[in-house]
Amino acid sequence: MNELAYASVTELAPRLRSRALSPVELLEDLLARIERFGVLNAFITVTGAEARAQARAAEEEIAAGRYRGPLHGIPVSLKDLIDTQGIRTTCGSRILADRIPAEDATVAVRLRAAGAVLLGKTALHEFAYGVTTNNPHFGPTRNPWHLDRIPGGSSGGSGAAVASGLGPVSLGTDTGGSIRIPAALCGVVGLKPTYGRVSRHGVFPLAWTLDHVGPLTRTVEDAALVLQAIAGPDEKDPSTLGYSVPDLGGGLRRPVAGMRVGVLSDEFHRQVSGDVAERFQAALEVLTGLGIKLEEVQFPRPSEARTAALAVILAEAASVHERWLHDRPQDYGTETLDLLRRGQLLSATQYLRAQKVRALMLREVGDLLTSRIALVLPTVPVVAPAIGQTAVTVGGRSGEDRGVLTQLVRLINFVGFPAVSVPCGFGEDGLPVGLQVVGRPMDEPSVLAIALAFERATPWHLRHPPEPTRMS
Amino acid sequence: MHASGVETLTDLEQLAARLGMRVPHEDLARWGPWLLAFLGDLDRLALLPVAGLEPALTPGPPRASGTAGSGPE
Repeated sequence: MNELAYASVTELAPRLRSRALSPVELLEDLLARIERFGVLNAFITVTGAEARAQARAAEEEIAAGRYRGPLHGIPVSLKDLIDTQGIRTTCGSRILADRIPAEDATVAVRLRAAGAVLLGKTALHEFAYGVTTNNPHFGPTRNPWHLDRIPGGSSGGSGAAVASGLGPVSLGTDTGGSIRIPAALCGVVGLKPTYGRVSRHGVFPLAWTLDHVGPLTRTVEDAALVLQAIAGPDEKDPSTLGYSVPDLGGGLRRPVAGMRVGVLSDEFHRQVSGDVAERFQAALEVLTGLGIKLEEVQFPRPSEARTAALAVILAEAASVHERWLHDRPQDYGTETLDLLRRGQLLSATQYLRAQKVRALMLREVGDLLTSRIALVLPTVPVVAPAIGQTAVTVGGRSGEDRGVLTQLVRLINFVGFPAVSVPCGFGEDGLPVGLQVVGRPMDEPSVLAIALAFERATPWHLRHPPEPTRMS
Repeated sequence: MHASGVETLTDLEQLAARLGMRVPHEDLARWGPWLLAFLGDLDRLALLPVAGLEPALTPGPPRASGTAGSGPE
């Protein structure tokens, strides 16, 4: 076991601050590990030279007494649709394969300001439009727990990297579950903040009104630390204006005993495989043991909400890609092109009808959280499917992989509420299972407090995948 | 009958042509059935109590024009 590779930010930060550990030493350790773990295909670009310069600068600043805070000298990776000045940002596509942004995304600016060291750009599903990270242009990213399985997506490189000790932090994006799905399938923490909490400026869109940026980490505390650094108003993204950022580090330590939490128990949310149901039930017992008051609740109109959410992502994604669909259709992978074409055939009336349903859902899902502080449900109905597998069976019924993997996460993007996935055990074939906690808008502290209490009561975050010595 | 008037692969093909899209027939055959079923689901959303609601557009505060995620350059 590599001691540095699996250390959390909260463990590394005091050692960096006291100079017991050098940012350069930490970076070199991770760069060597990334090379050794190349079979995972977790990175599209590793920023060796730039990272070394940043690590040396961090070392000098800390030595000079100019410590910036807990991310100073910490290596982080970014999903490769987050703009980085002077560093290629491909969006996992052929179309943007050689694109070098002229400026950083706001989240990259904020991480740099916090002193983080940019380790590299992680692999993703083409244009983030999918859940497998089986990329036609850059090859499949592999799940570190089983190399023949997907890591989930679309932030699959981030999930695989964090799970296998290739950096403690990676930023992903989540439009229909793309942070939480890889977090669950790779056995790490994935936080989708409230819509408007984190700036999307400089992040290539999939669907403007569903996109969220957030961290994948190995601990809940680390997720809170990263969110603290990247959250807050940004004039370049008006959806963020008007919200101040609470003290997340303090907030997540609030007592959870006595909290009322809803367990989504409608038929739509009960469609999970036996091993996931078993792990979820065990998680509920842990939450009860923490003094949380659980009560079964029904999600309003989940099938209709899913239809409306799909219409929004299909239409908005088609709009984002309108010009390239006309000029360069041959440069898309088949799966992405098929989805974009479907979106082009929707009408404005259909799109706006879906957005009216969203208004209804905001009210009705909000009502569920009036007297309860959070909702809990599994993150993904199954453990990681095989690479190339397109149909997934749950409860004897076979469905398209995209539909099954997004079943329990997509509706939360539709209403924009905060949600976190935390490891809650291992299912079939020893593969990770995730527990999802959903909260009220802008109440990340409560979501994180429940997740942290669960994490501290369970051992799952302490287990790590084997070193990938060969293809399984 | 769908409110959209699109019920068959031929209807979809004609709609694509009207929109100036070049979609090979074999591509349409691959995902057209899914889209036809989906359009039916979308029609049924009109049965929900949404008549008096304004489209939400975003789950957060109203957005002004900005540069967040600007799309193709």
